[in-house]
Amino acid sequence: MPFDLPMPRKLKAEGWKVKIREKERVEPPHVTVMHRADEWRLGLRDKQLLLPPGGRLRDIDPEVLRIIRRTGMS
Amino acid sequence: MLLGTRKGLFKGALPPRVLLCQERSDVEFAGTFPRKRVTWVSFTRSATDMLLEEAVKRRVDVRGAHLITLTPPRAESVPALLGLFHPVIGLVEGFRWLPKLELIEAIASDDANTRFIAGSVDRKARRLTLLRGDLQAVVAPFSLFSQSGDGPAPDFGRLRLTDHGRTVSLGDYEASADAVLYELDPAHRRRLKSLRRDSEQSLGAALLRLRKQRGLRQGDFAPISAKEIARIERNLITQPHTRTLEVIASRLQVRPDEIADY
Repeated sequence: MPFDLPMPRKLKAEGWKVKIREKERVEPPHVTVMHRADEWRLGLRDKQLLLPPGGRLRDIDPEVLRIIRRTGMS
Repeated sequence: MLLGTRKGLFKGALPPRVLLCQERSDVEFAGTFPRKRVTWVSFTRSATDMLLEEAVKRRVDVRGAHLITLTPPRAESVPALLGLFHPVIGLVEGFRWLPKLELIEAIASDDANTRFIAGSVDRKARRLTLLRGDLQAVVAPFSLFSQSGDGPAPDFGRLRLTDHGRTVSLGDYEASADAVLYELDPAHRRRLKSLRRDSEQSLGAALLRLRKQRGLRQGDFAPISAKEIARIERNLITQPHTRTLEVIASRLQVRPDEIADY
């Protein structure tokens, strides 16, 4: 089973997911944040979005980022 | 172009660049679009028959357009379809498709080439064929999906495409489309490398970007050798001599301290 960070019902209904799949490009270490068709890779070392696909942190729901931080992943 | 489905599938507006053909006359209208940029998606066998009939009867020019048949067409119609469309995907049973709504959105998206819309498993050859949104296929050996630690083993009998085409699910095992493409597609790797290089903050990366913007070659900085320019761009020289920087800057028509800003 991939690591799938539990999301509150509201965020889940909106299509937010945070995953670490069995097969990922492992370097640099990251979690994948998904919102419907959009995807970001959040680096666990520098807390920045990795390229590709890059993107802007402000496009990620702040509550999702808070949950990631709370679990100590970032 | 969608055939054989209703607008209700989309619960609102159609995704951009998507047209629904519900009647025969729609097919004729859709046939006026530049065909090399058109992908027809037929949801039913009868819709594929209608497309073929209209293309032949009204001489709608579809030659060279792409066709995806989510339900395999009648065997007798296959030669004609192959003669009119290229490529034709879904001629045989066994494809696992992305959910319909996600599939249409993935095909119409700007990053269609990084998302998987369908897959099929060949157990005998131990290969998985994955089809991207731009209809290019990659063939992956089973060995690509290795078990990590005590995690789940891939179950090739339970192939699904999920997360809008960004995940290949094999039972409880998941692989990211990006990781699969990174290993199988040299063009994908080159794109990533180029993206990384473009985003890099070093003097070498800035010089490379600026040089390309000016349309210059590494050999255009005499008396600085092409080899030295290459070494700076590859960050093998991180602090060039002042005189070297002055020559480079002069050729690029910027001040020496401006190079790193690019």
